[in-house]
Amino acid sequence: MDILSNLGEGFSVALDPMNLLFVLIGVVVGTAIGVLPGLGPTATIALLLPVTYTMDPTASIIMLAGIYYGSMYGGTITSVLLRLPGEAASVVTTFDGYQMTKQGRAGAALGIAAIGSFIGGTVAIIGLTFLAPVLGKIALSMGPAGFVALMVLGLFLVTSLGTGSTIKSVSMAAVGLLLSTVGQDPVNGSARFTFGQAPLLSGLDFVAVAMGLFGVAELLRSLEQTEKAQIIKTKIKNIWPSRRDLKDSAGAIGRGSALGFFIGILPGGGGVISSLASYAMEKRRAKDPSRFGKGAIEGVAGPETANNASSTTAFIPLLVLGIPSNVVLAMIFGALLMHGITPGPQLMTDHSGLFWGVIASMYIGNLMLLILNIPLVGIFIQMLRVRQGILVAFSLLIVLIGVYSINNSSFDMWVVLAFGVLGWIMSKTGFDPGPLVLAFVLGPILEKSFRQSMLISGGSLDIFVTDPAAAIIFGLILAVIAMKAITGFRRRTAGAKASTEAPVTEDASPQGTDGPDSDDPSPLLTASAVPGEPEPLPAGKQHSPTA
Amino acid sequence: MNKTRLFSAAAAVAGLSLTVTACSGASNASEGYPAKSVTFVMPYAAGGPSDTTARAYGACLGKLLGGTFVVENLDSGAGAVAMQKLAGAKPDGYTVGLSTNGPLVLNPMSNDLAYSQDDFQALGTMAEIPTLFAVPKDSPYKSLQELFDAAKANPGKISIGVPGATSSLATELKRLQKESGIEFSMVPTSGSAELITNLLGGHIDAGFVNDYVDVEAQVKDGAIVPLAAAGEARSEAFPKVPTTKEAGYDVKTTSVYGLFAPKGLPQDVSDKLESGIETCSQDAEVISQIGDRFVPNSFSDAAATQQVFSDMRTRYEPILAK
Repeated sequence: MDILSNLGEGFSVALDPMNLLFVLIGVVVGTAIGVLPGLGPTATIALLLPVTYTMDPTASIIMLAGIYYGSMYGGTITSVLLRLPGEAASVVTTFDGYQMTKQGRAGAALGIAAIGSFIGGTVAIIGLTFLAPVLGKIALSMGPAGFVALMVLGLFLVTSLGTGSTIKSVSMAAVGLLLSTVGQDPVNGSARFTFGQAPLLSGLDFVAVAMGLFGVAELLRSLEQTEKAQIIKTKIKNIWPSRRDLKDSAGAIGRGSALGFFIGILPGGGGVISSLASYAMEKRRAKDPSRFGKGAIEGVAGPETANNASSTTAFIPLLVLGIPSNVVLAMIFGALLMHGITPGPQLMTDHSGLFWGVIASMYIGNLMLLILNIPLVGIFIQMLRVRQGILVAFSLLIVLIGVYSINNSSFDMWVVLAFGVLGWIMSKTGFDPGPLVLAFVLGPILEKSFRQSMLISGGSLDIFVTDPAAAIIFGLILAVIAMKAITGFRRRTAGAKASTEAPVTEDASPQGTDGPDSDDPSPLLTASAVPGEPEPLPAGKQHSPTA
Repeated sequence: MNKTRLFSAAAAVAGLSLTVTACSGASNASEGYPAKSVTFVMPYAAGGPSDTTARAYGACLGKLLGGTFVVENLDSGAGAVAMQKLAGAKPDGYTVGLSTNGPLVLNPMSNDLAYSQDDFQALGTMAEIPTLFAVPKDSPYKSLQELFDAAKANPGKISIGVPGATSSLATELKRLQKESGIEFSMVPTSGSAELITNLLGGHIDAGFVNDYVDVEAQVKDGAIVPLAAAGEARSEAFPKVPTTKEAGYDVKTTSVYGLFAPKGLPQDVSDKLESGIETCSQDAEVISQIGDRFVPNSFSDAAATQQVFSDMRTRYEPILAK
């Protein structure tokens, strides 16, 4: 096997004591900055870039890659403990992760996230090892039309995530889309909604918006409660995931690995979509979907696994084709250039030691992260013992520093505070920030890709049928809608029968929070209902056959 | 060699932490310039060719003049934030910045911003990135002529990618379309990486793109075919490919990375910086970091650099003026 001998060569590079040290430095730094909200891998790698110029190229890429996937592990910690998502993909983790913390199950959430991340990451590296060249070509099949389809799928999933009413989710997603139009028009470059503010030309910063709506809003809310109430609330029940937790999460981790692996290959937006898709899938498969958003461990395990798998496969377009698929990888691209190495189709043959060395180092790095993170979970959850007032003040300080560090812009600090207040008002009125933030991430890609598609096709919508990638994804969406319509119809007829036999069932519906089925525009939302369970039909309809 | 690089990196890191504290001291700029660390603002994010240029020159100027140049990436507001900071800084040589067509010329022309080109003075050219027209490998268009003829025959049917809606490449192509009547369907992407992906995947018919190492790697691989170099001279990487002028079209642009300061720098400070750039542009380390073919062989001084950008303004004013 050619690949195995190459991988062997890679391990001989990665196991060099100096390179081992740099893997360790990378993953430790990555975890540390992942924990500090706002200070993401982008800012850190930018800061460390000049240092890597003096290093051996292989060692420097091994370290930078370690920082990148290490930060994915670290990012989970604040999402779960403080509801502070540092990047788009961890937004999904806050839904159930933070609820678990409130129930005293922070340890289980973090533990399962670490295990899932390890498995997802490893599966993705194995895939990267054996399938990279083939998969690289798949990434190319995604043109503007394909991205439109992918983003539509994403939005579709977004509106199905909330725990509250669907109308509220959809309206929040709409607000998110609207906010994403702030900044320069992607096609003609004119300024939109900038009100003469230069920093707004590049739009609102994602991290500032997400940190504000989730983290700062939550900090404000926690100040309303008395200290005693909070101590009880955050009492830590068990540190490790129980056997049952592991059993519950096994499927989610397996499916998350596969989803993350394949979706992660797509340049741009892959990470968010994969964790979204994983969450939606787990919710759909669950026996009792109403647990989601209230501390379901699968809701943490699946998306976290998918997120880590996709951050690993994001390296495929860079290593195989020389195309950096996100900002962090663009900086790693820059670091390689500084060493006189151009990432491109020839990288694998011209610099095979580096190529395979980096891949081998990922196996080692993932293992190190698992070993590091398991004991760290115990330490991090001690953070919850800190007095609320101190924790809140300290978190806010770190959030502001982190947000500032992204663009070196004090404007973003005002943005985070403003969105904090908005998020607090939203929580008072029962609006969920999740759909808003996720739609905000997907919006610009959707708009740009749609307008590019229209320019390419000369304004004809045919492109979404003739483009193979778009056709497949839209076909998938239609299939889901059709499936949902059929099951919905069956349930309705079955429900009519059931209600004639047992009219009492109506108040036994556990899905009350999902909203009435009939005015649900999103087929995935209530696709959750399982045959045999009392159907969540509005009372009026339920009674009509008998009346 | 390695040791000196290590040292300069260490110095840069140390300087970073000292920037805040080392503000007192000689404010009389001209005498012992630089007496404290110099802020080097960058209108783009870390990792791209402009960042490489800023860091290579920053390190070299620091060594040469005996100070520290701290690169500060301020990429928000499409570079406008960095330019605003530079325009508002004291003209004492302790704030300088890299700039190029977009943030310096095009952006203030098409948007209401608090600065204009007149607020800055050029100190010299650090690097130049040429541009070229390219098609995917199995494209039916084998020459620039064929591509442009196809666009003439089917107005608006031939799609051509440009890296960014406000890039100088997009603006230049707009100018060509306006003046020649040839009508492409221009597809702005978020940058070179996305443009190359779309070319490789065959989603667009052609691309007008920076002739940088990322494109060069794809050409070497045979995945992308260059049709014409859109500059004064042929590309050093592809000497067999004609220029646009040779192919019979007036379409050309180059990304010139100049060093700028707020207007009104003391003469001796600007002289020091200008000759510093000249020396650094011949420095082997700077050349190897940025890439030999992107560092001009003959130095383009302050006056020449200023001229390049005022020519640019004249050329694009009719297209972009508000």
